[in-house]
Amino acid sequence: MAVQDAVHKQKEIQEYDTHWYRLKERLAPYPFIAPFFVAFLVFQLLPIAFSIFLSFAEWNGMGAIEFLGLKNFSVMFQDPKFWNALKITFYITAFCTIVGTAGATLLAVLLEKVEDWLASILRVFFFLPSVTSVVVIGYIWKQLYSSDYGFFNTLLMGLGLPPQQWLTDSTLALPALLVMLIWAGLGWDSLIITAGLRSIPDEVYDAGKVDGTNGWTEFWYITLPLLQPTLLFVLVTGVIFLWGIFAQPSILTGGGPLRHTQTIAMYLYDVGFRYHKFGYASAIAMILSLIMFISSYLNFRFVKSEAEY
Amino acid sequence: MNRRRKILGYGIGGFLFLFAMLYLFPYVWMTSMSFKADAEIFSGKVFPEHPTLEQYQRLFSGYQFKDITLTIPYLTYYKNTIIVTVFSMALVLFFDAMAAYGFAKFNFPGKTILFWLMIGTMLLPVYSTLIPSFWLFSVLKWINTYRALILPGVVDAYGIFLLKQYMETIPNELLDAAKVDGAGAFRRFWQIVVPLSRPAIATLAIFRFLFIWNDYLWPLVIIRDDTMYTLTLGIANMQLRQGMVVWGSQMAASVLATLPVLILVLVMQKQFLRGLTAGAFKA
Amino acid sequence: MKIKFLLLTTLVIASMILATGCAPAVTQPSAPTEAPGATEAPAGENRTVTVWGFVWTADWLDAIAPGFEAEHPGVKVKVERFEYDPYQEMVLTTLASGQGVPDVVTLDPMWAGDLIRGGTVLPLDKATTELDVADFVPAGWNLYAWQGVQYGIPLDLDFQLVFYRKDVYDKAMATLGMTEFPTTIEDFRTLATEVTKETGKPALLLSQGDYYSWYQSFLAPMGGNLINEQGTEYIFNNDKAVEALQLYSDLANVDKTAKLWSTDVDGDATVALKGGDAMAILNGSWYATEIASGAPEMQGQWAIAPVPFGPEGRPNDAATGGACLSIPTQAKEPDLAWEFIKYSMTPENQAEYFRIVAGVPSLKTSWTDPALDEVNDFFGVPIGRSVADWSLRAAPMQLPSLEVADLIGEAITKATTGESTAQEALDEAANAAPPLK
Repeated sequence: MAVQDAVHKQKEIQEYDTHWYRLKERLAPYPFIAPFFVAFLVFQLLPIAFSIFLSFAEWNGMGAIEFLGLKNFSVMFQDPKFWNALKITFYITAFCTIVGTAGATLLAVLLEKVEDWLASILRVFFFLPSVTSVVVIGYIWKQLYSSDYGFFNTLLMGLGLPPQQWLTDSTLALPALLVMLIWAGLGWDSLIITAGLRSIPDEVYDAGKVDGTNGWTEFWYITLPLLQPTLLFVLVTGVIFLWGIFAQPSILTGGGPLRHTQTIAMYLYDVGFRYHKFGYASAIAMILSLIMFISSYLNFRFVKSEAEY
Repeated sequence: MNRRRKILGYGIGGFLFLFAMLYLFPYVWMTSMSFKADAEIFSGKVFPEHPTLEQYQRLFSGYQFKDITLTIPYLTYYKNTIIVTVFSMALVLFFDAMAAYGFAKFNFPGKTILFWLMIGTMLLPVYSTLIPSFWLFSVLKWINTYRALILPGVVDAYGIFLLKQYMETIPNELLDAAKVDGAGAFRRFWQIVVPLSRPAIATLAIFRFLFIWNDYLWPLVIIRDDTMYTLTLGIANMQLRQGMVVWGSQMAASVLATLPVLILVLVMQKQFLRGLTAGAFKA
Repeated sequence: MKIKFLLLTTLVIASMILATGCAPAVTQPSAPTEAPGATEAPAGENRTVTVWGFVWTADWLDAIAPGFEAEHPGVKVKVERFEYDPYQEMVLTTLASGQGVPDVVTLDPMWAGDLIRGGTVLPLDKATTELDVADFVPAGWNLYAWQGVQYGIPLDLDFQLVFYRKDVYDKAMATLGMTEFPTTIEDFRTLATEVTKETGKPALLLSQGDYYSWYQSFLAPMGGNLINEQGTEYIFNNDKAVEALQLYSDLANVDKTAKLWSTDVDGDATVALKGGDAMAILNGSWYATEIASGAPEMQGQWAIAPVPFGPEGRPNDAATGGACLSIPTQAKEPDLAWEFIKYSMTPENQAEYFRIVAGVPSLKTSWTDPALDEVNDFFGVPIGRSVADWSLRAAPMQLPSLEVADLIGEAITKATTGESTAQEALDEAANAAPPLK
């Protein structure tokens, strides 16, 4: 019996050496990659190629496509609305990533010091906005900020202070948006940072204790440097997300007042879907993509170099 | 020493708890508005004096405005969102897992190029494909269909990346042993790799669910009439009727739309944290 | 093992088919019934002409459809109705995508310009031969002419009027010794100041950032326009335009008799009027129906007058807008579409338009209908007749592109909130405007 099994096994092993088998193995990955690849080609690569092409042309979606060379880009560089949108988006990205990440780190660190059962409840609380639809968040905050009926103004008036035009005053609209954005992202970021904190092995802290570190120096010299990859991740994803932000400002202020909260994605949408200038919109999309790409690359490089000590 | 830490812990915990209460105020607002009758909506008080289910009823039985009844097909919105989310998730998870397996466990010509191409497009905003995709769907006559909502989401480079990282940690010896036992590539995939990747797949499933359930931009572009609205579009468009006090129903609609997500998070919170820690993002 | 793989692939494909199949694959907006029949069948075979309209215009289309079907046996009219707000988006995207294009489409002057200049609607060459141009109010007819070709047949004439609180204004007029509603800017400013003094409330509501309203009531009467006659350059930043914008801003900021109102932020204007928060408003003649239904308890308290802003002695040179019927270039039944438009332009059918939509028709021959002389319950006067008479003096608007309309709207907001001077704001808009071809 055992001999027969052994022979059988040997035969099987020999079988695996045949050309047929090797061919089968060689061809194996393709059916796995295929569905993704087809969808990728159709829904990503080809549209991107077409978009690049369109950025050198003008098209209103109905008539002919008119080739324009670099004209869209020259118009863009002189377009005050484009630069405005760029500026606004830059402010949003810079402010929210820096303040947001700092806040999230603080929150994560504090949470680690809290008893487990309480900490997990708190984590769920802070995480809620990240799972809520941007539309829902947008409309809640829109109501809270409402000049006549919103809660914030009711509160102010209750304290004897004058009510503010949160969403229609050109100096207040952007800060109002920033507050909402940071509020929405805190939980998510702090969760990721928590994961990062937990991956720091205890030995390092113990070693630190031997050297006589206290709370603050421990944080600054041990935790922070070792948190670099996590922080990098949070920053990079934050940058990519914020450069392309559309729904939140669109719902909260519609880009107003007078484009003080209009992001570049919103401007792109307007140009394409409201004015039907698909060529120009594609050109803007190209620039936006380039910016996101460069930003995340720079982020990556910067934090990486910091990490190499 | 330990006692001191515990007291500090509770102290911080207490402080954070108070902060969390403030932090969650918008949700309190949302819920309390949803229970206010129209007359109370603009009262400026936080809690309703005479709570009512009026706003919720409106979502199902229509809105009386002047002398017409406007129906809000809320159930349709819910149905649409569920259909799109379920199908999308099934497809994405399946395709992602397969592709990740292909990348993780095999070598083939063009693998590196394809992989980097995929990563590169991950960094590109959806806007670069928005207009051509719109045009593509219009040519195919797929505007305003379920197809259009489900299919583009199938391309999920991020998910493949995540799963690939995870799958690479599965020891090859396990698969070689299976090979020797006569298992073909698919069998190895289905019976070994997938079960072992369950934590990562579950995490991915949660991410995709959240993304699709809450998606706004793509449905905005591709959906043309309100029988096909998803929940996010439906809530957004409740704003569009002039002269109507829609605040209340919007909040009611929001509460109902957020509930499934909330439940998911409560149930899956441990899973989430574990998934994020499981080498999912090691740069 | 292979079987399992096949089984799974089938499952995936099946679920895909299910996903795609269980879609109501609706590419048309509203409930799908039959597709617009589109074969070159000989007359008499079943053909359908699809007609798009919004709100009450759609109601009117429903009303006249059976008559058309009776005159053309074998032809069905399919009317598709939309709410006003999403209508623009719907028309623009449907015509762009080429899917589910109607045969006859109602256009709104706010955005019709882009469609006409973009070649998305057909030139109506039979317009001058099969219809009598003299029957139409010139302002209405010329509104939809471009470079000598007709692109739309006008439905109603929509120009701004002052809707004012008769009780309040009459009292103020008595105090000042005025016998009729002012017809000059100076007189109006005096009256408005008096009204504000007596009531402590704004005498007039002006729409903030509203290109349409400002163009019709201020720019056009003062002799300004968007583009010069040759069509070569923008002139909405010349002296006349700056004066018009300055007046607009002064009413709110200097005289403090006008309140700038934005529906997005401030809500429904009728609510403010109902509450006595303002004593008058500038709006199109269609507002008569809206205020009557929105504030029925104020019956008898309101009156209308032509817009007083303009050169001395020439009241109501407000330019007119108004909807029209056009035929998209990709319509499947352009001939039937034209027949339908022609049919809709009979005195009887246009009188019906007035009865249902309450907008005064462009077709003068329909004005003989007694409906125009009916005393309007809310206002106590036959407003149809008054508006019709006033319309004869109006000039057609120049249809802007959406982009230009948006730019000018922003300029208005900037000038009225003090962010820039009127000249600066308009110059900025003119510079940012897309070059004219």
